[in-house]
Amino acid sequence: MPDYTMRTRAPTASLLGRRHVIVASTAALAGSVLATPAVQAADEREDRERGRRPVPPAPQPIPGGIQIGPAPTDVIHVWAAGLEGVGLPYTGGTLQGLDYDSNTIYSFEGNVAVAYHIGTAVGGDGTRYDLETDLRAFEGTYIAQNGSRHQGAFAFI
Amino acid sequence: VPGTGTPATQVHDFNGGVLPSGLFWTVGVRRDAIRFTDNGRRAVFKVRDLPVIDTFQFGGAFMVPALVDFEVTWEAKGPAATYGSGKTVPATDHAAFVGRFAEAKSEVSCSGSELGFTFRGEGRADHARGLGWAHIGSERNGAFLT
Repeated sequence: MPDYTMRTRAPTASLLGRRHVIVASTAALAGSVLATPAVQAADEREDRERGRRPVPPAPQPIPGGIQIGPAPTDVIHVWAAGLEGVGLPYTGGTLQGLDYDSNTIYSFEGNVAVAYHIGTAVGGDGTRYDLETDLRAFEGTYIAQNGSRHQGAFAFI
Repeated sequence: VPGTGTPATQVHDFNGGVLPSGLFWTVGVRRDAIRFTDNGRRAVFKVRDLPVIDTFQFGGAFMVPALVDFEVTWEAKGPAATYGSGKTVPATDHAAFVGRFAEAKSEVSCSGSELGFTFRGEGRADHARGLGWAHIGSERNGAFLT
Protein backbone atom coordinates (compact mmCIF):
# COMPACT_ATOMS: atom_id res chain seq x y z
CA MET A 1 0.00 0.00 0.00
CA PRO A 2 1.20 3.52 -0.63
CA ASP A 3 2.45 5.34 2.41
CA TYR A 4 1.05 8.75 1.66
CA THR A 5 -2.16 10.42 0.64
CA MET A 6 -2.61 13.32 -1.70
CA ARG A 7 -5.79 14.83 -2.95
CA THR A 8 -8.05 17.34 -4.26
CA ARG A 9 -10.85 15.92 -2.22
CA ALA A 10 -14.31 16.44 -0.93
CA PRO A 11 -14.26 19.24 1.62
CA THR A 12 -15.54 18.23 5.00
CA ALA A 13 -16.75 20.28 7.88
CA SER A 14 -14.46 18.89 10.49
CA LEU A 15 -11.26 19.16 8.55
CA LEU A 16 -10.90 22.92 8.63
CA GLY A 17 -10.72 24.61 11.98
CA ARG A 18 -12.21 28.02 12.64
CA ARG A 19 -8.82 29.55 13.32
CA HIS A 20 -7.60 28.58 9.89
CA VAL A 21 -10.58 30.19 8.25
CA ILE A 22 -10.24 33.44 10.18
CA VAL A 23 -6.51 33.69 9.58
CA ALA A 24 -6.81 32.80 5.93
CA SER A 25 -9.74 35.14 5.37
CA THR A 26 -8.05 38.06 7.09
CA ALA A 27 -4.89 37.64 5.07
CA ALA A 28 -6.79 37.34 1.82
CA LEU A 29 -8.91 40.40 2.53
CA ALA A 30 -5.93 42.55 3.49
CA GLY A 31 -4.11 41.53 0.36
CA SER A 32 -7.12 42.29 -1.74
CA VAL A 33 -7.67 45.75 -0.30
CA LEU A 34 -4.05 46.72 -0.76
CA ALA A 35 -3.52 45.23 -4.16
CA THR A 36 -6.77 45.49 -6.05
CA PRO A 37 -6.73 49.08 -7.41
CA ALA A 38 -3.14 48.90 -8.62
CA VAL A 39 -3.49 45.41 -10.01
CA GLN A 40 -6.75 46.22 -11.75
CA ALA A 41 -5.33 49.36 -13.33
CA ALA A 42 -2.26 47.48 -14.47
CA ASP A 43 -4.36 44.65 -15.87
CA GLU A 44 -6.61 47.03 -17.77
CA ARG A 45 -3.63 48.92 -19.18
CA GLU A 46 -1.98 45.66 -20.21
CA ASP A 47 -5.23 44.46 -21.77
CA ARG A 48 -5.47 47.63 -23.84
CA GLU A 49 -1.84 47.44 -24.88
CA ARG A 50 -2.11 43.84 -25.96
CA GLY A 51 -5.56 44.17 -27.47
CA ARG A 52 -6.97 41.59 -25.10
CA ARG A 53 -10.49 41.53 -23.82
CA PRO A 54 -10.78 42.43 -20.14
CA VAL A 55 -11.22 39.53 -17.76
CA PRO A 56 -14.91 39.10 -16.86
CA PRO A 57 -15.87 39.50 -13.22
CA ALA A 58 -15.69 36.46 -11.00
CA PRO A 59 -18.84 34.49 -10.27
CA GLN A 60 -20.55 34.74 -6.90
CA PRO A 61 -20.27 31.84 -4.46
CA ILE A 62 -23.38 29.90 -3.53
CA PRO A 63 -24.79 31.38 -0.30
CA GLY A 64 -24.94 28.03 1.46
CA GLY A 65 -22.34 25.44 2.19
CA ILE A 66 -20.77 23.25 4.81
CA GLN A 67 -20.70 24.70 8.30
CA ILE A 68 -17.21 24.32 9.70
CA GLY A 69 -17.53 26.22 12.95
CA PRO A 70 -20.02 27.74 15.36
CA ALA A 71 -20.24 31.23 13.85
CA PRO A 72 -22.67 31.90 10.99
CA THR A 73 -19.73 32.95 8.82
CA ASP A 74 -17.86 29.68 9.39
CA VAL A 75 -18.99 28.25 6.08
CA ILE A 76 -17.18 26.91 3.08
CA HIS A 77 -19.37 27.53 0.08
CA VAL A 78 -19.57 24.03 -1.32
CA TRP A 79 -21.53 20.85 -0.70
CA ALA A 80 -20.21 17.30 -1.00
CA ALA A 81 -22.82 16.50 -3.66
CA GLY A 82 -23.13 12.88 -4.69
CA LEU A 83 -24.91 9.68 -3.82
CA GLU A 84 -25.70 9.90 -0.13
CA GLY A 85 -23.49 7.72 2.02
CA VAL A 86 -20.76 6.98 -0.51
CA GLY A 87 -17.51 6.99 1.40
CA LEU A 88 -14.14 8.19 0.22
CA PRO A 89 -11.40 5.86 1.36
CA TYR A 90 -8.41 8.06 2.06
CA THR A 91 -9.96 11.19 3.56
CA GLY A 92 -12.85 9.39 5.23
CA GLY A 93 -15.33 11.82 3.69
CA THR A 94 -18.94 10.85 3.01
CA LEU A 95 -21.05 12.32 0.22
CA GLN A 96 -24.14 14.20 1.36
CA GLY A 97 -26.72 13.42 -1.34
CA LEU A 98 -27.84 14.32 -4.83
CA ASP A 99 -30.25 16.95 -3.51
CA TYR A 100 -27.17 18.95 -2.56
CA ASP A 101 -26.08 21.55 -5.10
CA SER A 102 -23.10 20.32 -7.11
CA ASN A 103 -22.13 23.87 -8.00
CA THR A 104 -20.03 26.43 -6.18
CA ILE A 105 -21.26 29.25 -8.43
CA TYR A 106 -24.43 31.17 -7.61
CA SER A 107 -26.82 32.41 -10.29
CA PHE A 108 -25.57 29.84 -12.75
CA GLU A 109 -27.29 27.97 -15.54
CA GLY A 110 -25.46 25.33 -17.52
CA ASN A 111 -23.71 22.00 -17.55
CA VAL A 112 -22.07 20.42 -14.53
CA ALA A 113 -19.89 17.35 -14.07
CA VAL A 114 -18.62 16.02 -10.75
CA ALA A 115 -16.16 13.24 -9.94
CA TYR A 116 -14.56 11.86 -6.81
CA HIS A 117 -11.75 9.75 -8.23
CA ILE A 118 -9.77 7.11 -6.43
CA GLY A 119 -6.34 6.22 -7.72
CA THR A 120 -2.61 6.40 -7.30
CA ALA A 121 0.13 8.86 -8.06
CA VAL A 122 3.87 8.65 -8.36
CA GLY A 123 6.21 11.42 -7.32
CA GLY A 124 9.19 12.46 -9.34
CA ASP A 125 11.41 10.53 -6.94
CA GLY A 126 9.38 7.35 -7.39
CA THR A 127 7.40 7.61 -4.16
CA ARG A 128 3.90 6.16 -4.51
CA TYR A 129 0.85 7.99 -3.18
CA ASP A 130 -2.83 7.32 -2.76
CA LEU A 131 -4.82 9.79 -4.83
CA GLU A 132 -8.32 11.09 -4.11
CA THR A 133 -10.01 13.91 -6.00
CA ASP A 134 -13.02 16.15 -5.94
CA LEU A 135 -13.03 17.56 -9.46
CA ARG A 136 -15.95 19.43 -10.98
CA ALA A 137 -16.48 21.21 -14.29
CA PHE A 138 -18.99 24.00 -14.85
CA GLU A 139 -19.82 25.50 -18.25
CA GLY A 140 -22.62 27.96 -18.80
CA THR A 141 -24.05 31.37 -17.99
CA TYR A 142 -23.54 33.17 -14.71
CA ILE A 143 -24.49 36.50 -13.22
CA ALA A 144 -21.70 38.35 -11.47
CA GLN A 145 -21.98 40.43 -8.33
CA ASN A 146 -22.59 43.61 -10.36
CA GLY A 147 -25.52 42.00 -12.16
CA SER A 148 -23.74 41.51 -15.45
CA ARG A 149 -24.29 38.26 -17.34
CA HIS A 150 -21.41 36.20 -18.72
CA GLN A 151 -20.59 32.92 -20.37
CA GLY A 152 -17.80 30.98 -18.72
CA ALA A 153 -16.08 27.72 -17.97
CA PHE A 154 -14.83 26.88 -14.52
CA ALA A 155 -13.19 24.02 -12.71
CA PHE A 156 -13.55 23.13 -9.06
CA ILE A 157 -10.19 21.82 -7.94
CA VAL B 1 -18.48 14.66 7.38
CA PRO B 2 -18.46 15.13 11.13
CA GLY B 3 -16.03 13.08 13.06
CA THR B 4 -13.41 12.68 10.39
CA GLY B 5 -10.11 14.42 10.28
CA THR B 6 -7.34 15.21 7.90
CA PRO B 7 -5.40 12.00 7.41
CA ALA B 8 -2.10 12.16 9.20
CA THR B 9 -0.45 10.82 6.08
CA GLN B 10 -1.85 13.49 3.75
CA VAL B 11 1.09 15.29 2.23
CA HIS B 12 -0.34 17.32 -0.67
CA ASP B 13 -3.59 19.17 -1.23
CA PHE B 14 -3.85 20.87 -4.61
CA ASN B 15 -6.76 23.26 -4.82
CA GLY B 16 -7.98 26.44 -6.45
CA GLY B 17 -7.91 28.56 -3.30
CA VAL B 18 -10.65 30.76 -1.88
CA LEU B 19 -11.54 34.24 -3.16
CA PRO B 20 -12.35 37.02 -0.67
CA SER B 21 -15.98 36.64 -1.79
CA GLY B 22 -15.93 33.07 -0.51
CA LEU B 23 -15.86 31.47 -3.95
CA PHE B 24 -14.35 28.16 -3.00
CA TRP B 25 -11.71 26.20 -4.93
CA THR B 26 -13.17 27.47 -8.22
CA VAL B 27 -10.95 28.69 -11.03
CA GLY B 28 -11.73 30.03 -14.45
CA VAL B 29 -10.51 28.04 -17.42
CA ARG B 30 -10.55 28.56 -21.16
CA ARG B 31 -13.97 28.00 -22.68
CA ASP B 32 -12.60 25.21 -24.83
CA ALA B 33 -11.11 23.40 -21.82
CA ILE B 34 -14.51 21.90 -20.99
CA ARG B 35 -16.66 20.21 -23.60
CA PHE B 36 -20.05 18.65 -22.97
CA THR B 37 -21.37 16.44 -25.78
CA ASP B 38 -24.04 13.86 -26.49
CA ASN B 39 -26.81 16.02 -25.01
CA GLY B 40 -24.77 16.59 -21.90
CA ARG B 41 -24.14 12.90 -21.23
CA ARG B 42 -20.40 13.07 -21.89
CA ALA B 43 -17.82 15.65 -20.95
CA VAL B 44 -14.10 16.21 -21.23
CA PHE B 45 -12.11 18.64 -19.14
CA LYS B 46 -8.57 19.11 -20.34
CA VAL B 47 -6.19 21.73 -19.06
CA ARG B 48 -2.43 22.20 -18.88
CA ASP B 49 -0.33 24.29 -16.53
CA LEU B 50 -3.31 25.45 -14.51
CA PRO B 51 -2.12 27.60 -11.59
CA VAL B 52 -3.32 26.27 -8.23
CA ILE B 53 -1.96 26.13 -4.69
CA ASP B 54 -0.77 23.20 -2.64
CA THR B 55 -1.87 23.59 0.98
CA PHE B 56 -0.35 20.19 1.85
CA GLN B 57 -3.35 19.34 4.02
CA PHE B 58 -6.96 20.46 3.82
CA GLY B 59 -7.08 24.01 5.17
CA GLY B 60 -3.38 23.94 5.86
CA ALA B 61 -1.64 27.10 7.01
CA PHE B 62 1.14 26.76 4.45
CA MET B 63 0.73 26.99 0.71
CA VAL B 64 2.90 27.09 -2.35
CA PRO B 65 2.04 27.84 -5.97
CA ALA B 66 1.80 24.85 -8.25
CA LEU B 67 0.90 24.03 -11.83
CA VAL B 68 -1.32 21.06 -12.64
CA ASP B 69 -2.46 19.28 -15.78
CA PHE B 70 -5.78 17.43 -15.88
CA GLU B 71 -7.56 15.32 -18.42
CA VAL B 72 -10.89 14.18 -17.05
CA THR B 73 -13.65 12.33 -18.89
CA TRP B 74 -17.23 11.71 -17.81
CA GLU B 75 -19.75 9.35 -19.36
CA ALA B 76 -23.31 9.02 -18.09
CA LYS B 77 -24.30 5.48 -17.16
CA GLY B 78 -28.04 5.69 -16.76
CA PRO B 79 -31.06 7.94 -17.07
CA ALA B 80 -31.06 11.41 -15.60
CA ALA B 81 -33.31 12.35 -12.73
CA THR B 82 -34.40 15.70 -11.38
CA TYR B 83 -32.96 16.98 -8.11
CA GLY B 84 -33.24 20.13 -6.03
CA SER B 85 -36.07 22.18 -4.63
CA GLY B 86 -35.52 25.47 -6.46
CA LYS B 87 -37.02 28.56 -4.88
CA THR B 88 -39.14 26.63 -2.41
CA VAL B 89 -36.19 26.63 -0.01
CA PRO B 90 -33.93 29.49 1.16
CA ALA B 91 -30.92 30.35 -1.00
CA THR B 92 -28.64 28.99 1.71
CA ASP B 93 -30.29 25.58 1.59
CA HIS B 94 -28.41 22.69 0.03
CA ALA B 95 -31.33 22.08 -2.32
CA ALA B 96 -31.58 25.66 -3.62
CA PHE B 97 -31.17 24.57 -7.23
CA VAL B 98 -32.94 22.57 -9.90
CA GLY B 99 -30.97 20.11 -11.96
CA ARG B 100 -31.07 16.90 -13.91
CA PHE B 101 -28.19 14.54 -13.27
CA ALA B 102 -27.23 11.02 -14.25
CA GLU B 103 -24.75 8.78 -12.52
CA ALA B 104 -21.54 8.65 -14.52
CA LYS B 105 -18.19 6.99 -14.67
CA SER B 106 -15.13 9.16 -14.89
CA GLU B 107 -11.41 8.84 -15.36
CA VAL B 108 -8.64 11.29 -14.59
CA SER B 109 -5.03 11.59 -15.65
CA CYS B 110 -3.15 14.32 -13.90
CA SER B 111 0.28 15.67 -13.25
CA GLY B 112 1.68 18.61 -11.42
CA SER B 113 4.74 20.43 -10.29
CA GLU B 114 5.82 22.83 -7.63
CA LEU B 115 9.15 23.84 -6.17
CA GLY B 116 10.84 20.58 -5.24
CA PHE B 117 8.02 18.20 -6.16
CA THR B 118 6.42 16.67 -9.23
CA PHE B 119 3.85 13.93 -9.61
CA ARG B 120 1.78 11.98 -12.10
CA GLY B 121 -1.42 10.23 -11.21
CA GLU B 122 -4.45 8.37 -12.47
CA GLY B 123 -7.80 7.66 -10.94
CA ARG B 124 -11.29 6.38 -11.64
CA ALA B 125 -14.73 7.15 -10.35
CA ASP B 126 -17.14 4.29 -10.89
CA HIS B 127 -19.55 3.56 -8.08
CA ALA B 128 -20.37 0.09 -9.44
CA ARG B 129 -16.74 -0.84 -8.93
CA GLY B 130 -16.53 0.73 -5.50
CA LEU B 131 -14.45 3.62 -6.77
CA GLY B 132 -15.79 6.96 -5.60
CA TRP B 133 -18.66 8.57 -7.42
CA ALA B 134 -19.41 10.71 -10.49
CA HIS B 135 -22.43 12.42 -11.98
CA ILE B 136 -23.12 14.66 -14.95
CA GLY B 137 -25.97 16.88 -16.03
CA SER B 138 -27.22 20.42 -15.98
CA GLU B 139 -28.62 22.76 -13.40
CA ARG B 140 -29.62 26.29 -12.55
CA ASN B 141 -29.63 28.21 -9.31
CA GLY B 142 -29.89 31.74 -7.95
CA ALA B 143 -31.35 34.25 -10.36
CA PHE B 144 -32.05 31.53 -12.92
CA LEU B 145 -34.64 29.88 -10.70
CA THR B 146 -38.19 30.74 -11.71
